[in-house]
Amino acid sequence: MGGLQADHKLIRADGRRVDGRGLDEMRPLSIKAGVLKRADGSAFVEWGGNKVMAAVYGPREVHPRHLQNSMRAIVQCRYNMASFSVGERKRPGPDRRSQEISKIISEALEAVVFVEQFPRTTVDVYIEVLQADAGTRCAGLTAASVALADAGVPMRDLVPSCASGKVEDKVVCDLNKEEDNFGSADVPMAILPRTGEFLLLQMDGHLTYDELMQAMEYNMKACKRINEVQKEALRTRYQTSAMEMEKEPEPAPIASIPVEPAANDQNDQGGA
Amino acid sequence: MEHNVVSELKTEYINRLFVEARRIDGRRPDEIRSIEVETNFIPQAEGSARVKWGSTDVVVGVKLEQGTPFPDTPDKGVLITNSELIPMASPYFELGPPRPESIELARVVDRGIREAQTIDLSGLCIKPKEKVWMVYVDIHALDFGGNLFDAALLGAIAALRCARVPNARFKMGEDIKLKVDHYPISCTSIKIENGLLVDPCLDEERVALARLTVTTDEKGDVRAMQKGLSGKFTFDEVKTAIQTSQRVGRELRQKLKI
Amino acid sequence: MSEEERISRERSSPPLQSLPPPEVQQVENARREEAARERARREQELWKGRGRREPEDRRPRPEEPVSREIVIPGEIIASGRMRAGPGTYQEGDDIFAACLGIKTARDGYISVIPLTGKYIPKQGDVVVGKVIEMTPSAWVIDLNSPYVSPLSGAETPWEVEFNETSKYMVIGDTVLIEIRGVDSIKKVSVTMNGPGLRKLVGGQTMDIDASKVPRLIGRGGSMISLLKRLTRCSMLVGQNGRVWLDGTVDDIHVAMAAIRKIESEAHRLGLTDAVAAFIEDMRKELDARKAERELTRDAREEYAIMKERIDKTEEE
Repeated sequence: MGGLQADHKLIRADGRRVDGRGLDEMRPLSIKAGVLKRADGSAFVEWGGNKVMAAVYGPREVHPRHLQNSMRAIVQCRYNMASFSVGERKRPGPDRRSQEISKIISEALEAVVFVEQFPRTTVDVYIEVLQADAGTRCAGLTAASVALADAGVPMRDLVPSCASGKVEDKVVCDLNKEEDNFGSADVPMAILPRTGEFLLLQMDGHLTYDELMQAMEYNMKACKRINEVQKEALRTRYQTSAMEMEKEPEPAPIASIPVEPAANDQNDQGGA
Repeated sequence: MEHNVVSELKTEYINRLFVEARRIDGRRPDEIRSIEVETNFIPQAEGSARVKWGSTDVVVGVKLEQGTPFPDTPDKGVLITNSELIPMASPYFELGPPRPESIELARVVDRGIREAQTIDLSGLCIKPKEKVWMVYVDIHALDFGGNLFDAALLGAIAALRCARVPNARFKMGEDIKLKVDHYPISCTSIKIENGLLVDPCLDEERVALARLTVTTDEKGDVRAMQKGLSGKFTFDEVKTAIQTSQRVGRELRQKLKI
Repeated sequence: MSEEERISRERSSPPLQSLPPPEVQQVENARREEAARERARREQELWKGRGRREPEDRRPRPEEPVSREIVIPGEIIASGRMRAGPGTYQEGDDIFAACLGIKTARDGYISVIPLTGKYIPKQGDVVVGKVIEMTPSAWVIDLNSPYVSPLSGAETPWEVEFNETSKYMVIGDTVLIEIRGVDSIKKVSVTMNGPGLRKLVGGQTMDIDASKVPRLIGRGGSMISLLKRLTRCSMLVGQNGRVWLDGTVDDIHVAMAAIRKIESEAHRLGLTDAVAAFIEDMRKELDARKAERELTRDAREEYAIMKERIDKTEEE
């Protein structure tokens, strides 16, 4: 993130972005639930070039014991990037960025899990980024909430998440790697789809108030679409016919989902 | 929550089945599980493969970076193999620095790749004593269903086979294919009270007394071996394991067209 | 183990794996339904997470199609006139799904039967546990749940002296026990004092998803009876999803495969017939393989004997 200028334009002459998307379009997204056998729940998200696996174990006993909360479950998320997931190989192990992301994702998930139902337990969530293409924390949280539902953990809602930002002078939805590296703002966000309440919100860069509102509205609309993909992944997982029990179905990737433009709509509050 | 207690009953059951030449998942004692390999699973990496071996699921990524060679081999590239047994893959894998099991896995896979001269490290020299290619092979276990050794080595070889040297990234011209000369394949057998089982599934691995991984090349010659766990093998058992490994190596090469 | 032993063991244990007799069950159901209504009335805002314990879940699912609509957490499933049952939560007039499951309505309650999830101990459940730890006066029992429970020496039919727990049971032993109580922070207590409760000797255990237990038992115990008959194994199904089976090596093998099938195809129509066919196919395959092995073995032995005889005759 920063003021590095790209050699080429990020917004083309025809108003489209480097990958051909409109300002308000998401990248292709596909989600598969229940892909791992050992974990209690799992989900695999492919979003643009992102490949993110999430796995859930729990509720289960807390080790070490002193971490347990006698009244409720704790939610512990670990977000990690594989060494081969980024352009230049990353040293294995948690770094400060991963630790921060782990914390904010844990907090987002704690808001939806009915933790009071499982005192003295932990719900462990593991997010592995296998290939990174910007918006990995959003892809990770999107995958993690599907994995939680897949594990049968009681929750209020799924948690869709998206990051919009600004490239050159345009606010755009769902930044890709180039846009994230060379753009001027990044706003990752996650909502509770039913109410539109924010569970995760970060921002870095430089935006006017109006630009920020635009970015958040793009995120809001994108999150609603992402929520549909999440729900479909879970339905598909369990509604396979007996004949197809052996093979796992491939949900069709949704190419460039156009999010309804809110740019000119003054009355649209971007929520419900 | 699972507790790491393998009951006597299960151990007994597995041994009883063995007497009838059967296993809990229906295989014969000398039969390996079904295998699926997807190469280039991580297109952004220089090379990659995802191996589904029975219910074990492993992703191996190959990254090439530039670095300084070791002082005693100034004109050779460097191979570094690393393994991450992430907690996602099993309730018994813990967070934290690599434990001995993870390190052993990485080193056994590394030995197989290196001793089989899979890649010619001399061909990875850019400027002697100053700059060489560092080949990083990173093993990432996603789902542990028994026998990570064989799945990991197969993933590493599949990833190396489709790998490219990223000249473009370093402004050294165009990417070229990484030259792979040999294809080692490993085969792991475990010892239970009543005999040997090849390619242990999860339950079998948990009751194993001892483990032997034998890595062979295309000719059937042995390139690496590793005994693990604290049980003992007789000489005959070792011979059987080696012969099984040669056979499995042949079969796999034929099936996967390596 | 001999046939007589097996039969006598089956007879001596009450059919805990199937449901209690109909009259007892009706009284039980009425009591539970009233308790459920009382709970729902009191807990308007929170999710009621005891999906598996309520009467509509206790009764084995019928074979005819029910609403197989899968609902996702956060989906609105009813408003106003319905009451929030297990697996749901309510905000204002609207009722939402709280877990991934199948929407079902009965007696004015809308509930979600979870498709999967951990077993949460409930008072009165009979479960199959495993000893994982020992103390001088108790054993710690794994319940296939996020919660373990102590089993004190006093809660067994034995006279257990202090420091003598290991005389009766050791780590790894399997037990059939009842959940005596679960308190407000889910501390569990269990007992082995009760009809049929005991240490289980021999046999094998396997763990399935606890939410599939009703399917494994079947309506009126139909599925479990079929399994026991066709596989010739004795079986005990704990409410915690842990199953104990005993029989010959082959029979256990077939039974376990059939149980896995039931677990993974629980929502399928006509499952009972499919399971019966599956068991038959497996048997045929096992018999064929056995015959093949015996044939090979017999053939070789016969040949050896023949050859010996021929050699002898020739000598003479």
